Amino acid sequence: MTEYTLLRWIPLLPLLAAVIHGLMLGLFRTHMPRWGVIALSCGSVLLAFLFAVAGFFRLVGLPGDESLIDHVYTWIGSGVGDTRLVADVALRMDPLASVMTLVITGVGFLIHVYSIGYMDDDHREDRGFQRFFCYLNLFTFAMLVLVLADNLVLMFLGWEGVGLCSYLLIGFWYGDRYNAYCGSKAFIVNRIGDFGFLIGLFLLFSAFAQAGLPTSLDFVDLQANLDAIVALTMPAPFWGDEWRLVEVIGICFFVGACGKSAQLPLYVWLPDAMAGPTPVSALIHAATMVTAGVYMVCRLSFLYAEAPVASALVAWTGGITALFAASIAIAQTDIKKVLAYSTVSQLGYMFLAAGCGGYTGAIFHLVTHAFFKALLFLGAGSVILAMHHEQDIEKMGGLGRRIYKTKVVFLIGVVAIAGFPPFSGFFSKDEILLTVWASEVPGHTWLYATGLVTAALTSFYMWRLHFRVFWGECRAPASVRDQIAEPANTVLFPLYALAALALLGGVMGIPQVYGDWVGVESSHSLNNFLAGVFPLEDSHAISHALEYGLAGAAVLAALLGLGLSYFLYVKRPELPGQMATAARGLHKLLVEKYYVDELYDAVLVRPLVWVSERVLFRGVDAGLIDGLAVNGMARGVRGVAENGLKYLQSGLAQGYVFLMVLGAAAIVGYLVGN
Amino acid sequence: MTLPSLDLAAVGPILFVSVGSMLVLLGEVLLSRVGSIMSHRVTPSLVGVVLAVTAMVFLGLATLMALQQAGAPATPFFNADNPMFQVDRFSATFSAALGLASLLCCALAIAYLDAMRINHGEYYALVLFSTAGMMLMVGAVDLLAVFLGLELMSIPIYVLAGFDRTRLRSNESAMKYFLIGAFASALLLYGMALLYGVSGSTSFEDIRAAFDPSNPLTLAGVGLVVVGFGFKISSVPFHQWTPDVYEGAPASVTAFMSVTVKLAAFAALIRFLLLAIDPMDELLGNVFWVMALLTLVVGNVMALIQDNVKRLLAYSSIAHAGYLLIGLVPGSAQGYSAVVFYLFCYAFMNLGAFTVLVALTQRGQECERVDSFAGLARSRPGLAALMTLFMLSLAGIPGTAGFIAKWMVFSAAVEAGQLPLAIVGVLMSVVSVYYYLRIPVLMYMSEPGDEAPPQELATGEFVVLALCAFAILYLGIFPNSPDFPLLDWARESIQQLLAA
Repeated sequence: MTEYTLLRWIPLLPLLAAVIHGLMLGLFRTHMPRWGVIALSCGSVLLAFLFAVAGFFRLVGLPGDESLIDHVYTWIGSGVGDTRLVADVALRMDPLASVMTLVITGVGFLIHVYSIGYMDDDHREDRGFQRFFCYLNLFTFAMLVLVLADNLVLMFLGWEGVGLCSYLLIGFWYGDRYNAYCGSKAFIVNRIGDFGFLIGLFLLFSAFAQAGLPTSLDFVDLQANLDAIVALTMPAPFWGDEWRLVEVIGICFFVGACGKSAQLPLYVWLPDAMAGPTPVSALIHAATMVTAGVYMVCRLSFLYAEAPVASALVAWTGGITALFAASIAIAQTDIKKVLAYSTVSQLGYMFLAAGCGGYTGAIFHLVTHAFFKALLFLGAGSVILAMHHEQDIEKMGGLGRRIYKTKVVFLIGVVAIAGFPPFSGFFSKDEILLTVWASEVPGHTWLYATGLVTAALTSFYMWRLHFRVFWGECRAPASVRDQIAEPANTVLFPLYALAALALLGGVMGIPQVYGDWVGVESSHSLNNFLAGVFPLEDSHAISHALEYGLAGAAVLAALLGLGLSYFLYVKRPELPGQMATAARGLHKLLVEKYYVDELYDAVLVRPLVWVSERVLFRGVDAGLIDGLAVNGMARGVRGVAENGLKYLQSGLAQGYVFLMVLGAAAIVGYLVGN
Repeated sequence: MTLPSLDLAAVGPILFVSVGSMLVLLGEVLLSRVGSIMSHRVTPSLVGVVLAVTAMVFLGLATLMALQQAGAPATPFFNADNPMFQVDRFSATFSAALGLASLLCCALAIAYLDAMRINHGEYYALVLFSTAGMMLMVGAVDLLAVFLGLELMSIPIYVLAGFDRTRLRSNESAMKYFLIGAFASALLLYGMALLYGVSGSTSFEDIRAAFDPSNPLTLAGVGLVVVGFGFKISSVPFHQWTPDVYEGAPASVTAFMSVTVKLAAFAALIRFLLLAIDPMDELLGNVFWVMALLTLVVGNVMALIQDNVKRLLAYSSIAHAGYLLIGLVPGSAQGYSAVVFYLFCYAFMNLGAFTVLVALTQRGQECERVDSFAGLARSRPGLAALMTLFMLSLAGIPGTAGFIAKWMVFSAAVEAGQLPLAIVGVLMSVVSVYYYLRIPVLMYMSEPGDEAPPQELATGEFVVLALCAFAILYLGIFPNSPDFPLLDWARESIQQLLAA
């Protein structure tokens, strides 16, 4: 480990900006001019990015699996002996954290720049511009703490921080009740996941005590002490089985990951999160925050490597979510909803990889996904701006002629996510499918099939989106149609940068088979970089022929999706409508997203609300706590003051002196009397 | 006749302050006779500024001098056999704190006195006289010196309380304070006389040597001295003058006396307890226990029903006397150092809160009603933010000096096995949150009433507010930073006294 105190500035700079904004807005009730906001917010994130780059190069220069550490101060130090809990505010940059930091600050900076143009036409409130950037900076800080934390407790701080910022930003235009509702929904569903995270944390804590080890939730210590924990079992049998503690801990943490990364059954908040401004959807709900769950599973890869059941659960949940969300995306007509379900689906892909032991593949896809999904969201935002905040693709069409630049960059995103070579998505998706094929997870062939079908579906709905938005006749009302124009340059430049990344991002993970063609010795540079972080993956005992075969299958799936989409939406545009009528039931099921929201509403939300409203609120809170405890006490105390003590305070000096004499007599009497 | 060789440097701070006060008096007389200097008309406000600056310069010098003394070993003053005054870390630290507090009180008064049309130059002279008395008090090791200091401190404050001569309430305040104060002084003096009667000497050392806890006269003497100090620190049941006097006195005077008198009286009391009497922890501890309990409950509960900010802060200052008394109960070094630390924190937060009141004075009308804070966040956001900080600190919210101070006192009590008292203290802190937070709630969540035009913050007020806010946050986050180890200073000054 190498001390590197520059590290703290990476999260600190955005925090500083957020604090300045927050103080101005919250305490001093003023706001700064736009250029000031822009300079402060974008500047702080850009500087953080530069520091992250500096850290990256410092890290590359270190031998082996060294990492950079910056111990800022001891945050929590409590207890004694073996149950002592120490948590430091300490940041650690290893290759994994470095990759994440670069993505967060790099993509984050581009989205900050994009937001300047995007939020410029928002005149709903005076200080909205600065408030937006305040939250965005705060988010960047929390996300950086999450990935740079060297222990689970500090990571949880970042974990909760990003949740809070997500809530604040989804409900950014809180004047609209629906947005506020969506923010709350995201927050509450995330809390369910956080509960799993916390239980996992507590189990780890108790595991240390059980194993007779000094507690440390530091990742390095965790990894070092893993052997002792692996041997432990749960104190009581569950379902008649002795459960190994690592499995339970792994599952608990995965519950947390499901909430944050929108996996079944906790994915429901992410589509609604699209109520927030589009840059937020790009930054938080596509590129960074939602990948926190994937990051966490990878960060704890040493633990999951010892927990085959938990890993299988991760893989299967990921695979099913990928297919499930992709199928919903087919029938959605809101441009952001399509992308949201696509995000859920792609996150499922990452978990599929991680569950099968392909942590590098998961992170690779995480990075490329950050590039192309941010690009797609920002492109969609550009479309939405051009359409004056219309999001329904049924009312678009033919936009390619009017906003040509947006169309081109959006197309790059579509091709990348659909997995056509040599775009970035092809390499990462291919690596995942390869890992799944070669893995030992029960039912991995089925998982592979799921992945392949999902790939075809992804290609289909993304091309559908492209054709419906940019091709054909414009279906917008004439008043809107005439005003469609390319957005400002601050909106376009980040798009170009992201398009370049989406196009070329695959370079970091070119499989060795292709590397051999051009005689590069180790072409998968990401793999080399991350090699020290993850437990050794099973060397893919796969022949080159099979590797080409699998890649071919993936490309075929993508082509199939493209072909079908072209046929349905360009050649025979009347067909989709007819098909929807013919298979009315299925179509409705997809449009209504399998009625999952309704199911949760009926089974969970309503009974809960009823109980809290009738029993807990009216009975316990209003009746007992408020009525009897709080107000009763307050009334009692005030009553004593108003009816008793007040009369002693008569304002007459002789009364005061009299009381003084009594007091003096009491004191002297007591002292002398004893 | 041989003059005793006096080390005048030892009483340097007191000398500076005394000389300063006389200069201010002379200056007032001279300047108010002069019509103009170099074709500048000499207005009362100009005179006020000049005198205030003079006073502040001398107070600043005294503070610096006191800080210089802080590292020195304990030196008795006048003569080594029968000293009246002792310069040590304790006296130096308190003299510095008192000098700084008085300096800030001068700074915050300049614009206020102008606005209230009571800009008479003797104001600053009185502040300086009083400060000289306090500085004498904190170093006194002889009952006579204690009493001299106490009276020198009190008499100018009686005058200051009635400084707004034309206002009835100010006069009432002065009169009441004087009457009851004289009575308390009499009790104190009687206690001193009893101690002298028992030991045949007024010096702390001799009293301690002759101390006999079985002698009722000794005990009665100690009891009456405690009563006398109990009056100055506004502890229940000797507290009742506090709200009336605080309310009637001009706000800048209230700021001055609420902070400095408490500092000086507590310092003198601690020195008396540590040097003049034999440890009779348990007995006297019980007395402080009851006083602390009553003071906490009465101060906090009565504050709940106040609608006048000055009365509210008066009860708040009573409540803080309660927290401070908790620190005296264990009779341990930890408890005393906690009190010392608490006093410094209290000085900053209380000064800050009163400065906000001073700054809100409009056209000769003081800000008195709690309601007048409504909507302040909109008209004067900076002031509202600072007031919120002061209120949070007074309530003891973490991150502020008030929290650390309370925590030190409570933990000293817990360590000494006084868990019930600490629990009462914590519960009463909870009660206090109600009335402290009422003001931020009004400022941020209510509509402003009659819109008074926002006025400029005077420079002096700004400096005081900024310094207090900075100190509160700084001490709240780094209570013992290497640059300003206030906690260590508090501990060391008590250790030095104990070692004697």
